[in-house]
Formats: sequence, structure tokens, C-alpha cells
Amino acid sequence: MTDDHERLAISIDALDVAYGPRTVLQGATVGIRAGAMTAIVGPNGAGKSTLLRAVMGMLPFSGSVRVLGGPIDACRKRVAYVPQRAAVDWDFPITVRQVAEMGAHARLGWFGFTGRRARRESLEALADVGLADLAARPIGELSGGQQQRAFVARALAQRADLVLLDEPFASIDATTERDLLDLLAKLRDRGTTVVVVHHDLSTVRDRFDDAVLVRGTVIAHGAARKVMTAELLARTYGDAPGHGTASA
Amino acid sequence: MSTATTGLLADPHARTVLATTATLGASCGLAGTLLVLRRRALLGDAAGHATLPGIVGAGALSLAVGGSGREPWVLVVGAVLGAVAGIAVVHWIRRATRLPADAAMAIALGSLFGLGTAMLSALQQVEGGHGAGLESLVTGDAATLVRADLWTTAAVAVACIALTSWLMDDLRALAFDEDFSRSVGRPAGWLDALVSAMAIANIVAGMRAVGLVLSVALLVIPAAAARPWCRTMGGMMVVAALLGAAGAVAGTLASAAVADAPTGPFIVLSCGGLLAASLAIAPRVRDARTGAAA
Repeated sequence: MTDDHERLAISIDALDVAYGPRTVLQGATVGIRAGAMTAIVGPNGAGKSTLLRAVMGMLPFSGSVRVLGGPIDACRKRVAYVPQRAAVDWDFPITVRQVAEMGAHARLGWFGFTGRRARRESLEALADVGLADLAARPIGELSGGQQQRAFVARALAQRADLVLLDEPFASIDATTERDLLDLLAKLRDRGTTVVVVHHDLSTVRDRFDDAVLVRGTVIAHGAARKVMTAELLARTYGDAPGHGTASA
Repeated sequence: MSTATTGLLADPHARTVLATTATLGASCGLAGTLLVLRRRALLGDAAGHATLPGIVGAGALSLAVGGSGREPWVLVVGAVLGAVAGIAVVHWIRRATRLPADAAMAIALGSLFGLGTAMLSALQQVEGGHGAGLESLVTGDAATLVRADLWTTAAVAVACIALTSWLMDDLRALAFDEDFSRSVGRPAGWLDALVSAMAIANIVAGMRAVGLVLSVALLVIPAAAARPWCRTMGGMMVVAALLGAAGAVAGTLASAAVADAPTGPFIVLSCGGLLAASLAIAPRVRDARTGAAA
């Protein structure tokens, strides 16, 4: 395990997280491989998003979390975080280009001196995800899939080494999900570590390298094909809501 | 233009009054856009109402040490302390109880304004009824504005323009996607403090013109009226500033036409009229555009 440490983008050891009196994660231990595309899978309320937020240092926890070989605060600019759709105000007066520019600013600085460069790099990132034509449109006028693409463009403009996405496929159709998965695979092929909190078990085995099964702790982790077994899925989903989707 | 209005424009004092309220309206439109987009409008209202106990306390202290009880700098210090205390009370209620934010703000707003009103009555008793002339700060009296108010308001406006231009990208990122902003290590707490500080500066700068009870309306209404017309936060700030200035000038002129009328309510009503017009026209313009495009 120690030999592998340089190859881990995220290493989590004995992670406990509680919201007030309610324990959400207990003793979660997992290593997420650098350069792989990993799905975090589990029933509603299992602690998947909490795991991601703990990695980002956005909530108090006990245990050890190392990101890109050190504490998160040492590498925030290299980590792109895409929150759940519900956490974003889609009616906000902001254009698609300005969304992508947030990524460039995260890397280059926020004080307007880098405006031209940020603008150029964000337009390149938008072209990469096929949104160049929509750059001047308000984000609220885009479809759900296009909005997620804009967020991937933001991660590209940030030149992040690690991209964390919290349920990016919620409320988008199957075709759009497939396109987005292609886009994330492209990102992975360029050497970026991609971690996705994911709901659709049917795509995990074929489209992800690794999977982490979560229910209050890490039930199992490893290569997607090895982990997504009927037995482990039964342990993860058990009698929890969402068991029906475990048929894959 | 009525003779009253023409006469008003010929008078240098009236021109100062109009320039001050126009500058204030523009500055409030800009700072108010941030307050609205960051969903802090009610916090601004709580801060505005909390200035009253601060002002009355500062006035009473000034009287106690032999002052006039209405030195502008004393009142400004009192107002700022009151507003900051108001926001601190909101945060304290939220930490100490499990009440939601809106309830905490409503509690702070009501109780601090009640405290201020009670203090003002007490001061009036002690001072033989004139209360150091602080009542006009509640609903505003633009006739009391002097040159110094114009310079103060202009300084606040310039500071707001400079800070928002400098920090535009950061403020936009925070208001649009707080999680992302925090995830890349941006100081959300400081940026929020800045948004609050700009709101407080405008409330204090505007207390003589619009009064502290209605100050939040001048912050929020122009921003709301601008929203349907703008695709970007920067654009919304410019349109809100123009609408705020227009509403402030119209309200000042209207209040001048009515003897002894407070200015604040007329300015807020004018802004309300602009908001109603904006909300009525915007969907039709949008339909016409989509119709033309189709």
C-alpha cells in the first residue's frame, strides 16, 4: 500500500463525519488511483456527497484525508469541484464564458489583471466541450446537459489534475449522459483523475475504471468489474431505497 | 415641467439635494445588485433598522458630554456601529438557536428598531421634545442635505465602483457557485463582509435622504427592476445604478412638490413604479424577441 501512495490521487484513512448527532460516515478508508475514472456508488443518504465534501475540506471530519499527496489546502487550485445541480442558482445573470472563466481565474488569479488570458483559455475550454457557439448565452438558457458541459469546461480551464463531480447526471437524459461520459473519459485520457458520485449502476462497469461502494462507510473499492458484483451490491444497497437500480 | 420644479433647479441648494440623491440612487443600485444576487437583502434590512439605536445612542452620548447631539460624524459612527451590531446579532441568534436565517433577521430587525424607537422617545423626554432632531433620519428629509452630504455620498459611490470592479470576478463566482468558490480557496467570509460593508455604507450615506427604515428598498428595488433586462452581473449593476438614480431624482422632485413631505417614501415609490413598469414590459419585449427569432 505504501508503495502505491504516489499513485493515489486521494487517500482517505479512518474518516468519520457526523452532522450533529447523526453519523454519516464511519471508518471510511479508501485510495483513489491517479489517472483513473472512479465512480462513487451507493444508496441515497449513504454518504457519497459527504465523502466528496470531506475530500474538499468543506465540512469538519476526523481521520486523515490526503489529496494529490498532501493536505487539500496545499493543492486547491489543482482540484476542480462540480457541486450538485441543486447547489447552483441557474437563474443567475452569468454567461457560459464567464462560468468557464471561473476555472481560469482559480488558476491565474481573481483581480482582473489576467482578464485577456482567462478569456482566451476559457473560450478554448468551451470549444473543447463543444459549447463555443453558446459562449455568450446566459447559463440558464442552456439544457441540463449543456450546463454540465460548461462546468466541465470550467474544470478544463482550471487545468485541474483532479476533477470531482457530485451527481453530474442527475435529471439529464441517457444520450446526454453518454456524451458527458465520453467527455470525462477524454479528460481521463489526458491524465486527469476523474471522480464521479454516480447513480446509474448500469454504466459503472463499462464506463468507469474503478468503483467505490459506499454505505455509511466504504464497503468495497477497486476495479469496477471486480467490485460491481451482485454480492457486494447487495451489501451496499441491502434493503435501502434504490435497491431496484442494483439489478445491473 | 412645473414651475415648482423649474424653481427647484434654479436653486443651488436644490441642485445639491438632487445631485446627492441621484448619486445615492446609483450607488445603492450597484451595491444592491450584489446584495440581491448574494441573497442578503433581508440582512441589509436588519442592518438598516439596527442603525437607529446606534444613532440615538451616539446622539445621547454627544449630548451628555455637552455636544449638540447631531454632529454628523458622531451619528455616522453610531449608525455604523448599530448596523454592525445588527448583523452580529443575526449571526449570534443563528448560532445560539436552530432558527432559520429569515427568522433570525426578522427578530434582530424588529427588536433593534424597537429599541431605537424607545431610546428616541426617552431622549425626546429628556431633551424637552426635540430629540436632537433625529426623527428625520427615520424616513429621510432631503431638504436637510448639504454639500458635505454630496461629497460623502460620492465617496461611497466611488469606493463601491472601485471595489466591485476590482473584485468582480471573485464576487460573481461566490454569488453564483459558493461551493466552487470555497473549493478553490476563495475567502467567502471576507467577500461577504465586503458585500455587507458596502450595503451599510450606502444605508448610512443615505439616512438623511431616504431615512434608515426605507434605505434597504433603495438597495433592492432598482436591482430587482434591472434583473429581467440583464444577462450579466456587471450589466445588472449598471442598469440598476441608472434606475436607482432615476428613481431617486423623480422621488426627490415629487416630495419637493408636497409641503413638509419626507423624501424617503417618495423615492421608494418612484423606484417601485420603475419596478412595476420593468416587470410589466419585460415579458412582452421577450415575447416580441422570441417571436421575431422564430
